[in-house]
Amino acid sequence: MSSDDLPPLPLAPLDLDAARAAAIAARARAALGHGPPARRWLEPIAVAVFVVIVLAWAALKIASLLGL
Amino acid sequence: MDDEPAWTAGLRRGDAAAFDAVFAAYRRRIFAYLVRMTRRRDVAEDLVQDVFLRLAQHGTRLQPDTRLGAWLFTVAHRLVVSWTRAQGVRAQLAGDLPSHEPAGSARSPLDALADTEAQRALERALAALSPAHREVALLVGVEGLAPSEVAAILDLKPEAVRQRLARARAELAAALGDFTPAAWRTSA
Repeated sequence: MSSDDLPPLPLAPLDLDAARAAAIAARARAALGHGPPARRWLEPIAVAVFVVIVLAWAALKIASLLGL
Repeated sequence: MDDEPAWTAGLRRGDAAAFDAVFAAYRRRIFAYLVRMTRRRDVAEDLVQDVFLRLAQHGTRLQPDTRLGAWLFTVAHRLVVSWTRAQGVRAQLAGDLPSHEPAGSARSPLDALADTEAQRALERALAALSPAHREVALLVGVEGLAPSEVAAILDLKPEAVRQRLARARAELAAALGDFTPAAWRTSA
Protein backbone atom coordinates (compact mmCIF):
# COMPACT_ATOMS: atom_id res chain seq x y z
CA MET A 1 0.00 0.00 0.00
CA SER A 2 1.46 3.36 -1.00
CA SER A 3 1.34 6.45 1.19
CA ASP A 4 -1.45 7.93 -0.96
CA ASP A 5 -3.64 4.86 -0.62
CA LEU A 6 -6.06 3.72 2.04
CA PRO A 7 -7.25 0.14 2.57
CA PRO A 8 -11.00 -0.49 2.50
CA LEU A 9 -12.62 0.78 5.70
CA PRO A 10 -14.87 -1.98 7.10
CA LEU A 11 -17.85 0.19 8.01
CA ALA A 12 -21.40 -1.02 8.59
CA PRO A 13 -23.61 -0.57 5.50
CA LEU A 14 -26.18 2.23 5.69
CA ASP A 15 -29.40 2.55 3.74
CA LEU A 16 -32.57 4.57 3.58
CA ASP A 17 -35.64 2.82 4.89
CA ALA A 18 -37.64 1.24 2.08
CA ALA A 19 -40.59 3.65 2.23
CA ARG A 20 -38.36 6.73 2.13
CA ALA A 21 -36.29 5.28 -0.71
CA ALA A 22 -39.44 4.57 -2.72
CA ALA A 23 -40.75 8.10 -2.09
CA ILE A 24 -37.47 9.69 -3.18
CA ALA A 25 -37.30 7.54 -6.32
CA ALA A 26 -40.91 8.37 -7.23
CA ARG A 27 -40.38 12.11 -6.74
CA ALA A 28 -37.17 12.13 -8.77
CA ARG A 29 -38.69 9.94 -11.49
CA ALA A 30 -41.52 12.47 -11.88
CA ALA A 31 -38.91 15.15 -12.58
CA LEU A 32 -37.12 13.02 -15.18
CA GLY A 33 -36.29 15.00 -18.31
CA HIS A 34 -38.09 18.15 -17.14
CA GLY A 35 -34.98 20.19 -16.40
CA PRO A 36 -34.50 22.39 -13.36
CA PRO A 37 -37.65 24.18 -12.12
CA ALA A 38 -38.17 27.64 -13.63
CA ARG A 39 -38.45 29.22 -10.17
CA ARG A 40 -34.73 28.55 -9.80
CA TRP A 41 -34.15 31.59 -12.05
CA LEU A 42 -36.69 33.83 -10.33
CA GLU A 43 -34.42 35.15 -7.59
CA PRO A 44 -31.37 35.99 -9.77
CA ILE A 45 -33.65 37.71 -12.32
CA ALA A 46 -35.38 39.74 -9.60
CA VAL A 47 -32.01 40.78 -8.15
CA ALA A 48 -30.68 41.72 -11.61
CA VAL A 49 -33.77 43.84 -12.38
CA PHE A 50 -33.48 45.59 -9.00
CA VAL A 51 -29.77 46.34 -9.52
CA VAL A 52 -30.39 47.72 -13.03
CA ILE A 53 -33.19 49.99 -11.76
CA VAL A 54 -31.03 51.29 -8.89
CA LEU A 55 -28.08 51.94 -11.22
CA ALA A 56 -30.31 53.72 -13.75
CA TRP A 57 -31.84 55.86 -11.00
CA ALA A 58 -28.34 56.71 -9.68
CA ALA A 59 -27.12 57.64 -13.16
CA LEU A 60 -30.12 59.92 -13.75
CA LYS A 61 -29.65 61.50 -10.33
CA ILE A 62 -25.97 62.21 -11.01
CA ALA A 63 -26.81 63.55 -14.46
CA SER A 64 -29.41 65.94 -13.00
CA LEU A 65 -27.01 67.11 -10.28
CA LEU A 66 -24.41 67.85 -12.95
CA GLY A 67 -27.04 69.71 -14.96
CA LEU A 68 -26.77 67.44 -17.95
CA MET B 1 -19.66 -0.10 -13.43
CA ASP B 2 -20.09 -1.98 -16.67
CA ASP B 3 -23.70 -0.90 -17.16
CA GLU B 4 -22.95 2.79 -16.82
CA PRO B 5 -22.78 3.66 -20.55
CA ALA B 6 -26.23 2.07 -21.04
CA TRP B 7 -27.60 3.87 -17.99
CA THR B 8 -26.18 7.18 -19.18
CA ALA B 9 -27.70 6.64 -22.62
CA GLY B 10 -31.03 5.86 -20.95
CA LEU B 11 -30.89 8.97 -18.77
CA ARG B 12 -30.14 11.07 -21.85
CA ARG B 13 -33.39 9.74 -23.33
CA GLY B 14 -35.32 10.36 -20.09
CA ASP B 15 -35.77 6.62 -19.56
CA ALA B 16 -37.29 5.81 -16.13
CA ALA B 17 -35.82 2.28 -16.10
CA ALA B 18 -32.31 3.70 -16.46
CA PHE B 19 -32.99 6.12 -13.62
CA ASP B 20 -34.25 3.28 -11.42
CA ALA B 21 -31.12 1.25 -12.16
CA VAL B 22 -28.85 4.16 -11.20
CA PHE B 23 -30.89 4.85 -8.07
CA ALA B 24 -30.65 1.19 -7.01
CA ALA B 25 -26.93 1.06 -7.71
CA TYR B 26 -25.93 4.30 -5.99
CA ARG B 27 -28.50 5.25 -3.37
CA ARG B 28 -26.81 3.35 -0.50
CA ARG B 29 -23.36 4.68 -1.36
CA ILE B 30 -24.53 8.28 -1.66
CA PHE B 31 -26.65 8.00 1.48
CA ALA B 32 -23.82 6.49 3.54
CA TYR B 33 -21.44 9.23 2.37
CA LEU B 34 -23.98 11.92 3.29
CA VAL B 35 -24.76 10.43 6.72
CA ARG B 36 -21.08 10.24 7.59
CA MET B 37 -20.38 13.76 6.33
CA THR B 38 -23.37 15.50 7.95
CA ARG B 39 -23.62 13.19 11.01
CA ARG B 40 -27.38 13.60 10.63
CA ARG B 41 -29.61 10.91 9.16
CA ASP B 42 -32.52 13.29 8.59
CA VAL B 43 -30.30 15.76 6.72
CA ALA B 44 -28.74 12.93 4.71
CA GLU B 45 -32.22 11.78 3.63
CA ASP B 46 -33.05 15.27 2.36
CA LEU B 47 -29.73 15.62 0.58
CA VAL B 48 -29.90 12.22 -1.09
CA GLN B 49 -33.27 13.28 -2.46
CA ASP B 50 -31.70 16.47 -3.84
CA VAL B 51 -28.88 14.47 -5.46
CA PHE B 52 -31.26 12.19 -7.34
CA LEU B 53 -33.64 15.04 -8.19
CA ARG B 54 -30.73 16.79 -9.87
CA LEU B 55 -29.85 13.62 -11.73
CA ALA B 56 -33.42 13.40 -12.98
CA GLN B 57 -33.48 17.07 -13.97
CA HIS B 58 -30.08 17.08 -15.67
CA GLY B 59 -30.09 13.52 -17.02
CA THR B 60 -30.95 14.49 -20.58
CA ARG B 61 -27.96 16.86 -20.66
CA LEU B 62 -25.34 14.34 -19.48
CA GLN B 63 -22.41 13.71 -21.78
CA PRO B 64 -22.32 10.15 -23.23
CA ASP B 65 -19.05 9.43 -21.40
CA THR B 66 -20.20 10.81 -18.03
CA ARG B 67 -19.01 8.72 -15.10
CA LEU B 68 -22.17 8.54 -13.05
CA GLY B 69 -20.48 7.72 -9.75
CA ALA B 70 -18.19 10.73 -10.00
CA TRP B 71 -21.12 12.93 -11.13
CA LEU B 72 -23.31 11.86 -8.20
CA PHE B 73 -20.54 12.27 -5.62
CA THR B 74 -19.70 15.70 -7.05
CA VAL B 75 -23.31 16.82 -6.55
CA ALA B 76 -23.40 15.24 -3.08
CA HIS B 77 -20.14 17.00 -2.13
CA ARG B 78 -21.51 20.39 -3.26
CA LEU B 79 -24.70 19.86 -1.29
CA VAL B 80 -22.68 19.00 1.81
CA VAL B 81 -20.61 22.18 1.35
CA SER B 82 -23.80 24.28 1.03
CA TRP B 83 -25.37 22.61 4.05
CA THR B 84 -22.21 23.10 6.13
CA ARG B 85 -22.12 26.81 5.19
CA ALA B 86 -25.78 27.20 6.11
CA GLN B 87 -25.11 25.47 9.44
CA GLY B 88 -22.28 27.92 10.10
CA VAL B 89 -24.49 30.92 9.32
CA ARG B 90 -27.28 29.56 11.54
CA ALA B 91 -24.81 28.95 14.36
CA GLN B 92 -23.46 32.49 14.04
CA LEU B 93 -26.96 33.95 14.06
CA ALA B 94 -27.68 31.91 17.18
CA GLY B 95 -24.39 32.99 18.76
CA ASP B 96 -23.17 29.40 18.90
CA LEU B 97 -20.14 27.60 17.61
CA PRO B 98 -20.91 25.49 14.52
CA SER B 99 -21.61 21.89 15.37
CA HIS B 100 -22.35 18.90 13.17
CA GLU B 101 -23.72 16.86 16.06
CA PRO B 102 -27.30 17.31 17.23
CA ALA B 103 -27.28 18.95 20.65
CA GLY B 104 -27.25 16.51 23.53
CA SER B 105 -26.23 13.45 21.54
CA ALA B 106 -23.55 11.68 23.53
CA ARG B 107 -23.66 8.73 21.15
CA SER B 108 -23.32 9.09 17.41
CA PRO B 109 -26.34 7.75 15.49
CA LEU B 110 -23.80 5.68 13.57
CA ASP B 111 -22.71 3.90 16.76
CA ALA B 112 -26.07 2.17 16.96
CA LEU B 113 -25.64 0.77 13.47
CA ALA B 114 -22.12 -0.58 13.90
CA ASP B 115 -22.09 -4.35 14.37
CA THR B 116 -18.72 -4.75 16.04
CA GLU B 117 -16.53 -2.86 18.44
CA ALA B 118 -14.03 -2.38 15.61
CA GLN B 119 -16.71 -0.73 13.47
CA ARG B 120 -17.74 1.50 16.36
CA ALA B 121 -14.11 2.49 16.88
CA LEU B 122 -13.77 3.24 13.18
CA GLU B 123 -16.98 5.31 13.10
CA ARG B 124 -15.75 7.34 16.09
CA ALA B 125 -12.30 7.78 14.56
CA LEU B 126 -13.85 8.96 11.28
CA ALA B 127 -16.17 11.33 13.11
CA ALA B 128 -13.20 12.87 14.90
CA LEU B 129 -11.46 13.72 11.60
CA SER B 130 -11.90 17.18 10.14
CA PRO B 131 -14.60 17.19 7.43
CA ALA B 132 -11.95 17.65 4.72
CA HIS B 133 -9.95 14.62 5.88
CA ARG B 134 -13.08 12.54 6.57
CA GLU B 135 -14.38 13.20 3.08
CA VAL B 136 -11.18 12.01 1.42
CA ALA B 137 -11.04 8.94 3.69
CA LEU B 138 -14.64 8.04 2.81
CA LEU B 139 -14.25 8.53 -0.92
CA VAL B 140 -11.03 6.49 -1.09
CA GLY B 141 -11.40 4.02 1.79
CA VAL B 142 -15.12 3.28 1.47
CA GLU B 143 -15.99 4.15 -2.12
CA GLY B 144 -12.73 2.86 -3.54
CA LEU B 145 -12.21 5.90 -5.74
CA ALA B 146 -8.72 6.77 -6.95
CA PRO B 147 -7.13 9.96 -5.58
CA SER B 148 -7.29 11.45 -9.09
CA GLU B 149 -11.07 10.86 -9.22
CA VAL B 150 -11.47 12.33 -5.74
CA ALA B 151 -9.47 15.37 -6.85
CA ALA B 152 -11.93 15.91 -9.70
CA ILE B 153 -14.94 15.50 -7.39
CA LEU B 154 -13.59 17.91 -4.78
CA ASP B 155 -12.11 20.31 -7.36
CA LEU B 156 -8.66 19.94 -5.82
CA LYS B 157 -5.21 19.14 -7.18
CA PRO B 158 -4.31 15.43 -6.87
CA GLU B 159 -1.38 16.39 -4.64
CA ALA B 160 -3.75 18.08 -2.18
CA VAL B 161 -5.87 14.94 -2.05
CA ARG B 162 -2.80 12.78 -1.40
CA GLN B 163 -1.75 15.06 1.44
CA ARG B 164 -5.20 14.93 3.02
CA LEU B 165 -5.27 11.18 2.59
CA ALA B 166 -1.90 10.70 4.27
CA ARG B 167 -3.00 12.86 7.20
CA ALA B 168 -6.37 11.11 7.45
CA ARG B 169 -4.66 7.73 7.47
CA ALA B 170 -2.22 8.80 10.20
CA GLU B 171 -5.02 10.29 12.32
CA LEU B 172 -7.19 7.19 11.88
CA ALA B 173 -4.32 4.86 12.82
CA ALA B 174 -3.58 6.94 15.93
CA ALA B 175 -7.24 7.00 16.95
CA LEU B 176 -7.88 3.31 16.26
CA GLY B 177 -5.03 1.97 18.39
CA ASP B 178 -5.56 -1.80 18.78
CA PHE B 179 -8.31 -1.72 16.14
CA THR B 180 -5.94 -0.52 13.41
CA PRO B 181 -6.26 -2.95 10.47
CA ALA B 182 -3.27 -5.27 10.18
CA ALA B 183 -2.62 -4.12 6.59
CA TRP B 184 -1.90 -0.61 7.85
CA ARG B 185 0.73 -1.82 10.30
CA THR B 186 2.65 -3.93 7.78
CA SER B 187 2.82 -1.18 5.14
CA ALA B 188 5.24 1.69 5.36
